Amino acid sequence: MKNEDSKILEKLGKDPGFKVPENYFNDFNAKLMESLPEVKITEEVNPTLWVRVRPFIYMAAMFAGVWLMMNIFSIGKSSATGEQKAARISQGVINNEKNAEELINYGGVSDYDIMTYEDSVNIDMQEEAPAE
Amino acid sequence: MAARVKYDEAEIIEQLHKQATCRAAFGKVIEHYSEQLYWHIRRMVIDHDDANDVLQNTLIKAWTNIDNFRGDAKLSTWLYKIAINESITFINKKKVLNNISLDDDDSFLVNNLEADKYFDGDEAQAKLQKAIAMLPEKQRLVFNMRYYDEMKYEEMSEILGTSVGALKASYHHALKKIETFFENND
Repeated sequence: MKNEDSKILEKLGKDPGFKVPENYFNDFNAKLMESLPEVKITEEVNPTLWVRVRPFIYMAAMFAGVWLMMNIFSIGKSSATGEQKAARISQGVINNEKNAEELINYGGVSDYDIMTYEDSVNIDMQEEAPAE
Repeated sequence: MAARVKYDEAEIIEQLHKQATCRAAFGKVIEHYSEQLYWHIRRMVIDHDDANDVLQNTLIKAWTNIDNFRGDAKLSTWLYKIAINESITFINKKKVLNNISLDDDDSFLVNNLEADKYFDGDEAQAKLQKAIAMLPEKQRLVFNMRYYDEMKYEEMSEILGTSVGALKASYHHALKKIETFFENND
C-alpha cells in the first residue's frame, strides 16, 4: 500500500520503533494458556432423522385428519338427502291415493267411472301394440 | 519466532465449539493472533507493560465468551473488536487515574516515550507517535489499522461498524493532521 499521498509517511516508513522483550510472544502464549479458567461449552447436537421429519409427518397427519372429517361429514349429508328424497316420494304416493279417494267421495266420480277410464286406457294401449 | 502450526479457521471454529477440543483450539488461536493483536494494542496504549495487560484481558475475555462466538463473523474481526474495546477502556481508566478529561486526546500516553526501554525509535518516529496520539480516537484507530496493519477498508468497516466512505474520510483527515503537525513542529 502506498502512503496515500503523504510524503512524510513515506520518509518515516512503517516501523513505529516499538520493541518487546526477547521471546515475549512464546512466553506470553504459554503463560496465558496456563491461566485460562475452565469454560463450559454448549455443544450443538445434530438432530436425529425423527426430529428432522417430525414436522412433515405432523403436517401430513393434520391434512389426513381434515380430509377424513370432511369425508365423514359429506357422507352424512348425502344419506340425509336420500332419506329426504324417499320421504318426498312416499308422501307423493300417499297424496295421490288421497286424491283418488277424495274424487270418489266428493268429486261425483264413481268406481265405475274410474274402471271404465282404466279399461279405455287399456284398450288404447292394446290397439297401439303391434300384432304378434 | 517459533514456526507456526497449520491454521485452518473453519476447523478451529468447529473445535472451539466442542468441550473436548476447545482449549487446544484456543491455544492455536492465541498462537495465530496474539502477535498481531499485541501490535494493534501497543500502538493504542504505547507502553509495553500496558499492552501486555490489555492483550491478556482481551484474550481472557475472548476465552470466557467463546461459547457466544457462533462463527457468523471472522474470528479476527471478533478478536479485534474485543481488543479495541479493551484498549479504549484501559486508556479511559488511565485518564481518570491521571485526572485527564475523557474528552482530551491521548497525547499523555507518549509523554515518556523516549525514556521507555521498549522503544528504540528515533526522534522522527517518536514525533509520529505523538502526532498519532493527538488524533481523535476513531481517526487514531483508523490510521493505525490502515497504515500499520494495512487492513482493507471493508474489514475495518466490519470491525468498527462504520461505512467504508466514512473510514476513508477519517484516514484522509488523519493524514492531513499528521502532516500539519510535522509542518508546525519542524
